[in-house]
Amino acid sequence: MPQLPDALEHGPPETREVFRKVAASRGFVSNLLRSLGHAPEALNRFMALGHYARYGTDLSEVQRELVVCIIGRGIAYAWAHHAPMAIQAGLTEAQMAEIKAGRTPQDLPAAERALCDFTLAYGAFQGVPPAAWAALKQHFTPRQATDIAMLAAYFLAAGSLIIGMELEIEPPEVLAKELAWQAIPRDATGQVQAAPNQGV
Amino acid sequence: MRLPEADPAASPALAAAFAAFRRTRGIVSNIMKSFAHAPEGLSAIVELGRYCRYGTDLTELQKELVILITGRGIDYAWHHHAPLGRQAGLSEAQLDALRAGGRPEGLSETDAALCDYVFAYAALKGVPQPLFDRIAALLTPRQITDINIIAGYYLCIASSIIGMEVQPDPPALRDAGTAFHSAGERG
Repeated sequence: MPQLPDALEHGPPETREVFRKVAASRGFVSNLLRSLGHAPEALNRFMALGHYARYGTDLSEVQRELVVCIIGRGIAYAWAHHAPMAIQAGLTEAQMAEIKAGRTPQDLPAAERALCDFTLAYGAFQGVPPAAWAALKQHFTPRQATDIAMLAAYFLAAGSLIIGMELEIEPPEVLAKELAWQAIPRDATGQVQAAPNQGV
Repeated sequence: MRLPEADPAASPALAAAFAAFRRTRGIVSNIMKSFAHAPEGLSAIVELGRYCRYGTDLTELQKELVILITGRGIDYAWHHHAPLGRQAGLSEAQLDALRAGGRPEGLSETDAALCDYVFAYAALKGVPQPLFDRIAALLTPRQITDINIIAGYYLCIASSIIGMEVQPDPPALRDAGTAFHSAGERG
């Protein structure tokens, strides 16, 4: 991360404790969350919103990853993290290629197609067409529609950090660790019951 | 708003999230209501927003410059934050310049550099190295991180204003929010 000095070394003492919390939620501290290390309270709160986005919504794993991958499809860092999770959740390589190209995969079920159409419009900052809203509301509850919007919004904010701070993609072994972490069963709050050792 | 309004009387979690927002902002704005069907997520957004408003190591003027630049194309954001920018010391000419996408005249060297940085950051095309080097020479890593989190948070909010078709708050409500803010910072 070339833009700011390492926060563990040069940041306030509170950073280490917040990094421990991040590791408990995600299994490791990504360069994305590390980039907020100089403002540990900001990191703490951004991480809490991310924890909700990742583990607290009323969406399926596939639905969640569809939203994230659509929003992050133009950002190499986001794609490197989430395309494997989407495939792990059940999407095919062909479907991922459609998403990467900014299109809704037409072989998805109707609900997921509506979700994709909505998210593609949402992420373009030009408003969501009435037909896309109508289709979304036909297949999803108000809670789920809100979760989709919130998830997209969170990843737009994350995308701004990735781009603005020129974040580097972590090595493959770190991405593999994250992928394995994501597959671990959790309780209703998203906490792993018996977490393996996590380093910061 | 595209979704039906949620009733806080029917959801203790939503009532608590609205109460937390009202405690720190004096009002519950339509943008926060747009997240009301997911109260736990709303609470997380409220807490992040509270940091952006009251927890950073930036001046009031610097915070409002970041928000106004990030939200300059969105009427909802502009109507809420232009009064706060004025309250923080911006003139009408400076506000006009910001809304037109230009750096205002008459700012300090640091605040001028902050404007250039945020214009680049919010365009989502990367920050040119000379702009980053300049801001890094004038502000601490903590302050730069605070700028990033405020800009990121307001991009998040802006996307919801547009995507959820959040309707303008009544002027009296906006004024109440501004007056609450000017009465003193709240943590």
